[in-house]
Amino acid sequence: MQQTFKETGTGPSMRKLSKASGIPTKELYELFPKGPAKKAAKIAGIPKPTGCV
Amino acid sequence: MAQENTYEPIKKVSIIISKNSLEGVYPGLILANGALMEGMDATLFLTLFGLDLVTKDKMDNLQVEDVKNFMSRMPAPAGPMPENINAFVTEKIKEQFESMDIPPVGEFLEMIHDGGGKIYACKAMADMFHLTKDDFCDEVYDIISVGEMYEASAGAQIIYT
Repeated sequence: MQQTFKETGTGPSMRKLSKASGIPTKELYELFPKGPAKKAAKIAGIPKPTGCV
Repeated sequence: MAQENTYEPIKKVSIIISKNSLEGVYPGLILANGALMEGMDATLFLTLFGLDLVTKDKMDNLQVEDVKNFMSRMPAPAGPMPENINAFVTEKIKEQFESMDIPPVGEFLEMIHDGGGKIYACKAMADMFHLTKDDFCDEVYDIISVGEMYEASAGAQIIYT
Protein backbone atom coordinates (compact mmCIF):
# COMPACT_ATOMS: atom_id res chain seq x y z
CA MET A 1 0.00 0.00 0.00
CA GLN A 2 2.69 2.47 1.08
CA GLN A 3 4.87 1.50 -1.85
CA THR A 4 2.09 2.28 -4.34
CA PHE A 5 1.37 5.54 -2.58
CA LYS A 6 5.03 6.55 -2.79
CA GLU A 7 5.19 5.69 -6.47
CA THR A 8 1.86 7.04 -7.68
CA GLY A 9 0.70 9.50 -5.05
CA THR A 10 -2.41 7.49 -4.29
CA GLY A 11 -3.17 4.13 -2.73
CA PRO A 12 -4.22 1.16 -4.90
CA SER A 13 -7.95 0.90 -5.59
CA MET A 14 -9.81 -2.40 -5.61
CA ARG A 15 -8.60 -4.01 -8.82
CA LYS A 16 -4.97 -3.05 -8.31
CA LEU A 17 -5.08 -4.10 -4.68
CA SER A 18 -6.36 -7.54 -5.59
CA LYS A 19 -3.91 -7.98 -8.47
CA ALA A 20 -0.86 -6.74 -6.58
CA SER A 21 -1.58 -8.74 -3.43
CA GLY A 22 -2.80 -11.86 -5.22
CA ILE A 23 -5.74 -11.96 -2.83
CA PRO A 24 -9.10 -12.48 -4.57
CA THR A 25 -11.65 -9.66 -4.34
CA LYS A 26 -13.97 -11.86 -2.32
CA GLU A 27 -11.38 -12.48 0.39
CA LEU A 28 -10.46 -8.80 0.52
CA TYR A 29 -14.10 -7.96 1.24
CA GLU A 30 -14.10 -10.66 3.94
CA LEU A 31 -10.88 -9.36 5.48
CA PHE A 32 -11.88 -5.70 5.28
CA PRO A 33 -15.69 -5.54 5.15
CA LYS A 34 -17.31 -2.34 3.88
CA GLY A 35 -14.70 -1.09 1.47
CA PRO A 36 -11.38 -3.00 1.46
CA ALA A 37 -9.33 -0.45 -0.49
CA LYS A 38 -10.47 2.35 1.82
CA LYS A 39 -9.87 0.35 4.99
CA ALA A 40 -6.52 -1.01 3.88
CA ALA A 41 -5.43 2.54 3.08
CA LYS A 42 -6.46 3.67 6.54
CA ILE A 43 -4.44 0.89 8.17
CA ALA A 44 -1.46 1.69 5.96
CA GLY A 45 -1.74 5.31 7.05
CA ILE A 46 -2.27 6.75 3.58
CA PRO A 47 -5.20 8.74 2.12
CA LYS A 48 -8.17 6.95 0.63
CA PRO A 49 -7.49 5.81 -2.96
CA THR A 50 -8.60 8.17 -5.69
CA GLY A 51 -9.17 5.50 -8.36
CA CYS A 52 -12.67 4.63 -9.51
CA VAL A 53 -12.33 0.87 -9.79
CA MET B 1 -14.86 18.52 1.06
CA ALA B 2 -13.80 21.39 3.31
CA GLN B 3 -17.36 22.07 4.38
CA GLU B 4 -18.89 19.56 6.71
CA ASN B 5 -21.50 17.40 5.05
CA THR B 6 -24.44 17.04 7.38
CA TYR B 7 -26.59 14.89 5.09
CA GLU B 8 -27.31 11.26 5.85
CA PRO B 9 -24.82 9.10 3.89
CA ILE B 10 -26.19 6.87 1.13
CA LYS B 11 -26.20 3.29 2.40
CA LYS B 12 -27.41 1.37 -0.60
CA VAL B 13 -27.82 1.77 -4.35
CA SER B 14 -29.86 -0.19 -6.84
CA ILE B 15 -28.48 0.29 -10.33
CA ILE B 16 -30.56 -0.57 -13.38
CA ILE B 17 -28.79 -1.05 -16.71
CA SER B 18 -31.03 -1.07 -19.79
CA LYS B 19 -28.51 -0.63 -22.59
CA ASN B 20 -25.98 -2.91 -24.24
CA SER B 21 -23.44 -0.52 -25.75
CA LEU B 22 -20.04 -0.19 -24.12
CA GLU B 23 -20.83 3.38 -23.08
CA GLY B 24 -24.26 2.21 -21.96
CA VAL B 25 -23.08 -0.44 -19.50
CA TYR B 26 -19.87 0.94 -17.98
CA PRO B 27 -21.42 3.79 -15.98
CA GLY B 28 -23.70 1.30 -14.21
CA LEU B 29 -20.82 -1.09 -13.56
CA ILE B 30 -18.64 1.68 -12.16
CA LEU B 31 -21.50 3.00 -10.00
CA ALA B 32 -22.27 -0.45 -8.56
CA ASN B 33 -18.64 -1.38 -7.92
CA GLY B 34 -17.88 2.12 -6.64
CA ALA B 35 -20.67 1.79 -4.09
CA LEU B 36 -19.22 -1.48 -2.81
CA MET B 37 -15.76 0.07 -2.59
CA GLU B 38 -17.28 2.82 -0.44
CA GLY B 39 -18.71 0.22 1.89
CA MET B 40 -22.26 0.62 0.63
CA ASP B 41 -24.60 -2.15 -0.49
CA ALA B 42 -25.33 -2.46 -4.18
CA THR B 43 -27.67 -4.40 -6.40
CA LEU B 44 -27.52 -4.51 -10.16
CA PHE B 45 -30.66 -5.13 -12.22
CA LEU B 46 -30.27 -5.86 -15.94
CA THR B 47 -33.26 -5.22 -18.13
CA LEU B 48 -34.03 -4.77 -21.83
CA PHE B 49 -30.78 -4.79 -23.84
CA GLY B 50 -28.82 -4.56 -20.60
CA LEU B 51 -29.35 -8.32 -20.40
CA ASP B 52 -26.61 -8.66 -23.03
CA LEU B 53 -24.17 -7.68 -20.31
CA VAL B 54 -24.79 -10.99 -18.53
CA THR B 55 -25.64 -13.16 -21.54
CA LYS B 56 -22.73 -15.53 -21.98
CA ASP B 57 -22.47 -15.37 -25.78
CA LYS B 58 -22.88 -11.59 -25.93
CA MET B 59 -21.10 -10.11 -22.90
CA ASP B 60 -17.58 -10.14 -24.35
CA ASN B 61 -18.64 -8.59 -27.65
CA LEU B 62 -20.29 -5.36 -26.54
CA GLN B 63 -19.44 -2.48 -28.83
CA VAL B 64 -19.28 1.29 -28.78
CA GLU B 65 -22.49 2.72 -30.22
CA ASP B 66 -21.93 6.46 -30.42
CA VAL B 67 -18.79 6.28 -32.56
CA LYS B 68 -19.03 9.89 -33.71
CA ASN B 69 -19.01 11.17 -30.17
CA PHE B 70 -15.93 9.14 -29.26
CA MET B 71 -14.08 9.94 -32.49
CA SER B 72 -14.43 13.66 -31.85
CA ARG B 73 -12.49 13.21 -28.60
CA MET B 74 -9.71 10.96 -29.85
CA PRO B 75 -6.66 11.62 -32.03
CA ALA B 76 -7.59 10.80 -35.63
CA PRO B 77 -6.16 7.48 -36.86
CA ALA B 78 -3.53 7.68 -39.59
CA GLY B 79 -4.65 6.62 -43.06
CA PRO B 80 -8.14 5.84 -44.30
CA MET B 81 -10.96 5.09 -41.88
CA PRO B 82 -11.08 1.41 -41.01
CA GLU B 83 -13.99 -0.40 -42.59
CA ASN B 84 -15.60 -1.55 -39.38
CA ILE B 85 -15.41 1.69 -37.48
CA ASN B 86 -17.43 0.46 -34.49
CA ALA B 87 -15.05 -2.44 -33.93
CA PHE B 88 -12.07 -0.12 -34.31
CA VAL B 89 -13.30 2.42 -31.77
CA THR B 90 -14.39 -0.37 -29.43
CA GLU B 91 -10.88 -1.82 -29.55
CA LYS B 92 -9.36 1.60 -28.80
CA ILE B 93 -11.70 2.21 -25.88
CA LYS B 94 -10.97 -1.22 -24.45
CA GLU B 95 -7.23 -0.50 -24.65
CA GLN B 96 -7.82 2.81 -22.93
CA PHE B 97 -9.88 1.12 -20.21
CA GLU B 98 -7.16 -1.44 -19.55
CA SER B 99 -4.53 1.29 -19.22
CA MET B 100 -6.80 2.98 -16.67
CA ASP B 101 -7.21 -0.28 -14.78
CA ILE B 102 -10.89 -0.52 -15.73
CA PRO B 103 -11.60 -4.24 -16.22
CA PRO B 104 -13.44 -5.95 -19.08
CA VAL B 105 -17.15 -6.54 -18.36
CA GLY B 106 -16.77 -10.18 -17.26
CA GLU B 107 -14.14 -9.32 -14.68
CA PHE B 108 -16.13 -6.27 -13.61
CA LEU B 109 -19.22 -8.40 -12.94
CA GLU B 110 -17.03 -10.82 -10.97
CA MET B 111 -15.69 -7.93 -8.87
CA ILE B 112 -19.22 -6.73 -8.12
CA HIS B 113 -20.39 -10.26 -7.35
CA ASP B 114 -17.38 -11.03 -5.13
CA GLY B 115 -17.78 -7.67 -3.41
CA GLY B 116 -21.20 -8.76 -2.23
CA GLY B 117 -23.28 -7.04 -4.91
CA LYS B 118 -26.33 -9.00 -6.04
CA ILE B 119 -26.86 -9.16 -9.79
CA TYR B 120 -30.40 -9.72 -11.08
CA ALA B 121 -31.85 -10.23 -14.54
CA CYS B 122 -35.28 -8.90 -15.48
CA LYS B 123 -37.88 -11.64 -15.85
CA ALA B 124 -40.12 -9.89 -18.37
CA MET B 125 -37.26 -9.14 -20.74
CA ALA B 126 -35.63 -12.55 -20.24
CA ASP B 127 -38.97 -14.09 -21.22
CA MET B 128 -39.30 -11.78 -24.20
CA PHE B 129 -35.83 -12.66 -25.50
CA HIS B 130 -36.31 -16.36 -24.59
CA LEU B 131 -33.39 -16.36 -22.18
CA THR B 132 -33.07 -18.64 -19.17
CA LYS B 133 -30.60 -18.87 -16.29
CA ASP B 134 -28.40 -21.13 -18.46
CA ASP B 135 -27.89 -18.29 -20.93
CA PHE B 136 -26.58 -16.01 -18.20
CA CYS B 137 -23.15 -15.92 -16.58
CA ASP B 138 -22.68 -17.45 -13.11
CA GLU B 139 -22.63 -14.05 -11.41
CA VAL B 140 -26.37 -13.64 -12.03
CA TYR B 141 -28.04 -14.40 -8.73
CA ASP B 142 -31.62 -14.67 -9.93
CA ILE B 143 -34.17 -13.72 -12.58
CA ILE B 144 -36.77 -11.52 -10.91
CA SER B 145 -39.89 -9.50 -11.63
CA VAL B 146 -40.15 -5.75 -11.26
CA GLY B 147 -41.91 -6.24 -7.93
CA GLU B 148 -39.08 -8.37 -6.62
CA MET B 149 -36.60 -5.79 -7.92
CA TYR B 150 -38.29 -3.16 -5.75
CA GLU B 151 -38.18 -5.57 -2.82
CA ALA B 152 -34.46 -6.17 -3.35
CA SER B 153 -34.01 -2.40 -3.60
CA ALA B 154 -35.52 -1.71 -0.17
CA GLY B 155 -33.68 1.18 1.42
CA ALA B 156 -31.73 1.89 -1.75
CA GLN B 157 -31.41 4.82 -4.10
CA ILE B 158 -32.55 3.51 -7.48
CA ILE B 159 -30.49 4.68 -10.45
CA TYR B 160 -31.66 3.96 -13.99
CA THR B 161 -29.08 3.92 -16.77
